[in-house]
Amino acid sequence: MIVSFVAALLIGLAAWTGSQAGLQYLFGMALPLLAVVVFIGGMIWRVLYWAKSPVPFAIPTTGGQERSLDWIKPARLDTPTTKAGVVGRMLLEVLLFRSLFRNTVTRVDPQNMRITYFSSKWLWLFALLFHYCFLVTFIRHFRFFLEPVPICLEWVEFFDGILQVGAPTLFISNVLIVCALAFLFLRRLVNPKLRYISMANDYFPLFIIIGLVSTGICMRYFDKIDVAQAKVFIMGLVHFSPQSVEGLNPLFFTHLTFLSVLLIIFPFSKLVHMGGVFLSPTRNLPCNTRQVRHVNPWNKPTVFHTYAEYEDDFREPMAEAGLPLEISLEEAQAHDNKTSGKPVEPASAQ
Amino acid sequence: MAKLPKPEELMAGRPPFPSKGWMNTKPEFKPGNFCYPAKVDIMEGMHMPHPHEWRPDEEDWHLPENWEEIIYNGLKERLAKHRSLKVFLDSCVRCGACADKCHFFIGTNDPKNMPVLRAELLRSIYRKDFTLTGKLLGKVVGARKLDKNVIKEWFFYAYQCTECRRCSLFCPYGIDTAEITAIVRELLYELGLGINWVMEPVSNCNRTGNHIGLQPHALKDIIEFLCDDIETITGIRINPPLNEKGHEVLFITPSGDVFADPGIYTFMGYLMLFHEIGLDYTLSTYASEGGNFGSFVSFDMAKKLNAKMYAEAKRLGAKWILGGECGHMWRVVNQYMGTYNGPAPDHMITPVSPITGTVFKHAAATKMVHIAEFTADLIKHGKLNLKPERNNHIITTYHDSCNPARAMGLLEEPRSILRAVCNNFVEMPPNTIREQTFCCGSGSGLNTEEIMELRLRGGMPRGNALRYVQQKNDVNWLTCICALDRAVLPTVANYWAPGVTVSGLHELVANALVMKGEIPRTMDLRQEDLPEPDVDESAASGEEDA
Amino acid sequence: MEAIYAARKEEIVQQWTTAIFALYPFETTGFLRTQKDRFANPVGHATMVAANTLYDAVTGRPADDDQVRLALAELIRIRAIQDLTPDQAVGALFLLKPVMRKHLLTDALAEGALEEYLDAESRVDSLALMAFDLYMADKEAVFKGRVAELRRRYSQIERWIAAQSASDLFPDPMQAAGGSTPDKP
Repeated sequence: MIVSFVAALLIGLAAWTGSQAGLQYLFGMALPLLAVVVFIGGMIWRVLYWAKSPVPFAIPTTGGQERSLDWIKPARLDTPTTKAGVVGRMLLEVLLFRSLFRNTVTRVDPQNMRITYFSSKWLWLFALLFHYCFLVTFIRHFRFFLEPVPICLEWVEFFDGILQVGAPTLFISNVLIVCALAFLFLRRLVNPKLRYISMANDYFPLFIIIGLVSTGICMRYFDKIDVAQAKVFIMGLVHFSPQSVEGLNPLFFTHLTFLSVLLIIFPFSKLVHMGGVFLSPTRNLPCNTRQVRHVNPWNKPTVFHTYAEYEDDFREPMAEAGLPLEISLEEAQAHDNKTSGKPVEPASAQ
Repeated sequence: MAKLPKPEELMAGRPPFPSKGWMNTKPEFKPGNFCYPAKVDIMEGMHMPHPHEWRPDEEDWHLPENWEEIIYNGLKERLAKHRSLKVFLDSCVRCGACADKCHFFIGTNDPKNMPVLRAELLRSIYRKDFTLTGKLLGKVVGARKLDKNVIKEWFFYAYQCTECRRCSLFCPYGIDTAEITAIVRELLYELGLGINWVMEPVSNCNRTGNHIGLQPHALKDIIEFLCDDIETITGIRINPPLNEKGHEVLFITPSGDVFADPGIYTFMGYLMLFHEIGLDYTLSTYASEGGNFGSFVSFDMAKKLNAKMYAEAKRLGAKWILGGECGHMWRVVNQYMGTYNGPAPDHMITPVSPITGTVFKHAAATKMVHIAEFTADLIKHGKLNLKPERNNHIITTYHDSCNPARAMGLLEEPRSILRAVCNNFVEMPPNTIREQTFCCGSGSGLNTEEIMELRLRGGMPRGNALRYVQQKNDVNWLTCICALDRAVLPTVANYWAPGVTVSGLHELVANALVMKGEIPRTMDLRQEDLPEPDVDESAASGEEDA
Repeated sequence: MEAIYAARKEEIVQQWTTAIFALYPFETTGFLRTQKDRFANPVGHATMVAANTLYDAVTGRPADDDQVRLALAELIRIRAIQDLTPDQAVGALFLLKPVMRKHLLTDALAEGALEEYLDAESRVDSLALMAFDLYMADKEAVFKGRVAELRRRYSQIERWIAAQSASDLFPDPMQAAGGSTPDKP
């Protein structure tokens, strides 16, 4: 954790001091462009890397009743058998974090042994909050990339700021994402299980995102920057025509640097879970494995102990027990005598 | 001379803070926490790589000289073959949702039994050898170098996972530890490291068709003993066809049902049911094992053993296959069989119940139906004359076996049967049943007696839920649909909830089944007296006449 | 004295269970302590429930014998199969003594109730003796379970062998059956 924290801090400091020392073009132009290239290239490589390996077996996790007899109601979304069902399951998983939602705990009052069920949905709630706030924030940022600003963006901003508190208006997503990040960070520290399994590469993205979010919030509410100028700069970036960096707050460059680092590490860290969920064979396959044969591209030829070999091993006891035989004892003996010219041995092992 | 320590000093707990992370703690092998290694001759007989003598509790495991290369190439090959492996190794965010879902973690409290860390044991090696960041940054990003202790760790924890997939249900990315465990076990087998409790049954199944290695005539004799018992109980003689050609259905059940208590009662139940409805079926001594111990070794071995089912159906000309109550057998049949050895032989048809005419469309490709689906359909159509009162002394609960629950979704069929044949049916708490069911703690080839304590730890969550309904609802019976469960749950129940009897589903079906021409039943399938024996109707009507 | 016992109960039970959990590897203690779910954390739950009942018994509150035994049995049953040495399994009870001394002894002396206090400590010893019985019974159950499982596994084969020996067809029936029992290395 310390390593990640120091690393994230150093990145922030480097960007801050660098942009004050005249390296604005490095942190404001070169790095973001590089980051976008690495991100896009990296994600394409990652998905191709995954897709290169086949899915030899259909191993969906069935999360509910299968479809078998007509009068038994199947769980269409938790155990989907159709393409539409699989899409539905995927949407539930991606949009609503279905699997995390399953987390339940049971509490028993030790005095009277009464049982009550609580769902332990904190992780689900805050994970969902975090991802949606991130999405909303991401969408709001399109204001800086697009001219004119589309009307739907105005709606997003309107609803996000519907509380009408403060000036500039407080965005709900800003508040929630800070809470969610705090939760996600603190549970790694407080929960002993999580503390034990967490590694530097769990904390690092978290710190980078915390840095990203906090610089963004600072720029909006506290150390306010000239939004119009920022937009001019970013439009320049988008159109590959460098604009003046004069007068832009170093915070702006720090913000941009955190974003760039996030994009760069994205394809090479656990953040690829965004893509992984779509390719997970326990979720993206229909549960109709007995109805439709799933083909394994590297299926090997079938080699097994055949019935003929089995009968050869046990012909005598089978005959004695009156079990039907393909080749009767007499036939086998005659055959053996013919080939070896020796009297036949009783059924030998192996 | 030191003073005798006080109790609290004598027991000396842990140091106040952990000095090492998980990468630096090593498993301690001691009798009772590891399975015995596979015998060399058996490994050789099955053509496994690098058979050799070794003991888990010895320092030197006598690995082949180029063991590092074997693992590197083995992992590389499997990454190229399984997208699941790549995705599962790359996507984990260590959110911890799986951590307390594992029965072994709950029972042992060993942090490396958290599914996330179990997978991390392999993931750390993958990072080091196959990812850029791992190569560059090493430990900081959770990569570590492969050494012999890692192999020992793999062995230790791959055999403390029953591949029950409970964690995969809760994982937001569907990461399936069973897949990871299966591949780690495959890698260990590449080094000649296997366990005897899996390899010996594999070898037996391969040659004799059943896991104990019983030869055909002995199997036939034992089936006749069970028919003797049925005659004692019902007065009806059944002669089940064996290896006969030209029957409509081939019936395959785990072989444990033929010779192990209490599976035999379930087996008797099948025979009684088939006799009563007049099913045109045959058993096979060649394909007498439904369970697939090969699936605990490698995908190839599972395929090899599974191939017998279609081969035998083809030889005997059976139109479809009916499968008995079994757990991992159904994981293989439902999710792998078609892929491994399909398409089914040409003459086979989409299964149709000859009694009700129901077409089992969901088994159109594999041509194999689960007996719970089959019987539930019979009962729904009122084709069975049932007297659930015969089971009135039983208050039962139902244990969903992991594989039928999470790799198949067979949840309602057995319950509907149970409700029809038993008047007292109580569910265990919701987050311990259905798709969230807890494992028996002994699945995937871990049902060997040398690790009994470990199994009881793994079985604790199930035992605990059972204990709860035992105290609350006076439950005295546990019904399940898995041969492994029938073998190991009596032990688990006896320890955690003494007084609960374990049985298969069709034992209760046959208890309740009124057969044409049977004598009034005075005992159940275990030949124990029924508290309310059947009234002899002929005698009763005779009295009325008089 | 009774009032003191009652007033200190929560604190003492809490410290005692913490001491018991401290016998487990560090990484798990937080889990045992904080996770309250009976089904997600049976070890922690059973320990907590047992500790409450046993404290009452030790401090001389009239307690149902069966109930005390039951609470103790549930505690010991878990510890008997865990990766603990016998002294750790049973000794959990002795961990109560130092906690009691810390919280109760001074007050007991002040109240002049030393004898009463010593009685309470002696009841811990009684519980430990009971626990020893229960521990041995549990261990025996494990061993019996092992044997019973083997017998169940081969029940029909034994029957077959008996039948073969009776008919005297095979001198060595187990071999004739082709059966093999996995034995130890």
